[in-house]
Amino acid sequence: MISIPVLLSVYGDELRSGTMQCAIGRGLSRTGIVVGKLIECALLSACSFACLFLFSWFKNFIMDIILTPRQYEMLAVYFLLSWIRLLTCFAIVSMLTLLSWSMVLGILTDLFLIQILEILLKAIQQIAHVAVYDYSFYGLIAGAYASMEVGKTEGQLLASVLIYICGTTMITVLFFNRKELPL
Amino acid sequence: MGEEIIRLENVKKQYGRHEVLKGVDMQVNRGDIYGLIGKNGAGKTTIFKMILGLSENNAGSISIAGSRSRKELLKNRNKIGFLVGARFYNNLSARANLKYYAMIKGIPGKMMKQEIDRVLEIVGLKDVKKPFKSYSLGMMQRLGIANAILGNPEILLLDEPTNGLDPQGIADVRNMIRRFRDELNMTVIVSSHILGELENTADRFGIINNGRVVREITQDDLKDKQRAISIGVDDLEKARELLAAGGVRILREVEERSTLEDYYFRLIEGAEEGIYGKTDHSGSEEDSEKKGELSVGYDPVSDHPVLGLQDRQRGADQDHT
Ligand SMILES: Nc1ncnc2c1ncn2[C@@H]1O[C@H](COP(=O)(O)OP(=O)(O)O)[C@@H](O)[C@H]1O
Ligand SMILES: [Mg+2]
Repeated sequence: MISIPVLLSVYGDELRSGTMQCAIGRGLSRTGIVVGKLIECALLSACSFACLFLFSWFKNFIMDIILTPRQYEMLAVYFLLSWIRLLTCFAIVSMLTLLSWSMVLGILTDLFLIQILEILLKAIQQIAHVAVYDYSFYGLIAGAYASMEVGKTEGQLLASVLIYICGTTMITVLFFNRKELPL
Repeated sequence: MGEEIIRLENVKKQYGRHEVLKGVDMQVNRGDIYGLIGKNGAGKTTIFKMILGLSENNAGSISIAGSRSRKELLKNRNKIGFLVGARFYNNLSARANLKYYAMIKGIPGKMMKQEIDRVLEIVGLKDVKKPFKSYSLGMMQRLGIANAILGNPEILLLDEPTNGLDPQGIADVRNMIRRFRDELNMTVIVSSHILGELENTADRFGIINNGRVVREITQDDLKDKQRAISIGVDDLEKARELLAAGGVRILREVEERSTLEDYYFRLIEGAEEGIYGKTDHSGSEEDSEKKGELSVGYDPVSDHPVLGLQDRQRGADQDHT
């Protein structure tokens, strides 16, 4: 839900307006740009999720819904995992946006990742019995949530998601450093 | 001042199998206005992109302000301002558009207004309030230039800043370039596909052709050597005959009146032939009654004396040694 606004505010109009070339032309390293964008996204979406969390707490307060501490804990975990999921999507979208130098493609990819791919992978797994969903970052995150629900902490699963983020970012850095940019 | 501020050594670039730069050597000194001249597709933009790090060179080295390492090169890039093919926001004024770039360039908030005022004043857009979409081409280019000098860079790269402008616009840009050097102490590298456009602006020119800087000439070369005399010719046919009789071989006849641009292109391409003459079309009305014109001059690009024969009526242009 907040993925597209975050994407837009991180990249904005930079590709079209030439401000990214300005930054690179003035000596900013491209690796710095890629990592910086990821950090920007992390901070921005963390703030958004924190607001959402506070908002749902406040809403419950107003409406006199009483949640147990445990339920609040799970709500927090849910937001935390959503945040990690968003970050993973962003890393992938970032890669495609920068390497194709097209914001439109970035937005379409983002929509695909948040709306379609998960369902698609689930369906494939169902039909073909290949664990594509389980090993996707969607599956890993869902697995982490499920295990936390029953009281276990699955650091391993989250670490695998981290590999998704780092791996994608490394590929982006590698190729973006060689990318030809228009003047 | 002879301090070298940008140096390219044997810089090569190829796109796939297309070798665009085959070893460019170029040196620009502090305080220079350096004109990079080459026809379309010669690789001028590519050279700029490599200086700016928007494109990677396949071989060779680039040094900015004496940088010795990649790290220093990156750091010294912040001394450069350049004209980016920026599409400004149509509905915003010049001031609002520049604010956006001022932020990117890290100009502190307190100084932003002052700095934007300063650059707008220089390019003559200070009192223009209307949105970008209603600008003339010349104004658009001036805003681009304002953006390039935002933050008062030491080095300015302008890729074909006169492209598409009317003569007045071209003159404006030329005047600005000189002011940047004379008043703001900038080093300017400016490209054009027309040497004539920068003739009186740059101090030095690199003529780029076929992937190399094939020749470097200075403003003095142009001043000293490009003095030409022109003689009106009543009867072109007769002149042609006489020249032939005198042993001057006519090597080429061109049907259309060659523009200054064609002239330089041919100079660049056929430098080894050294047979082209410059023709001046700025004659008075009285001149145009003459049947043709014979001109003798010295061409600094090909380094040859040149003789030109031109038919004013038909616009034919014949050149020979
Ligand atoms: N990104 C690119 N991919 C492939 N070829 C390119 C690219 N950029 C430029 N070229 C080619 O390189 C040559 C030089 O281009 P350029 O530097 O833009 O020339 P100029 O600015 O002198 O007109 C041209 O032949 C052009 O087709
Ligand atoms: Mg060009």
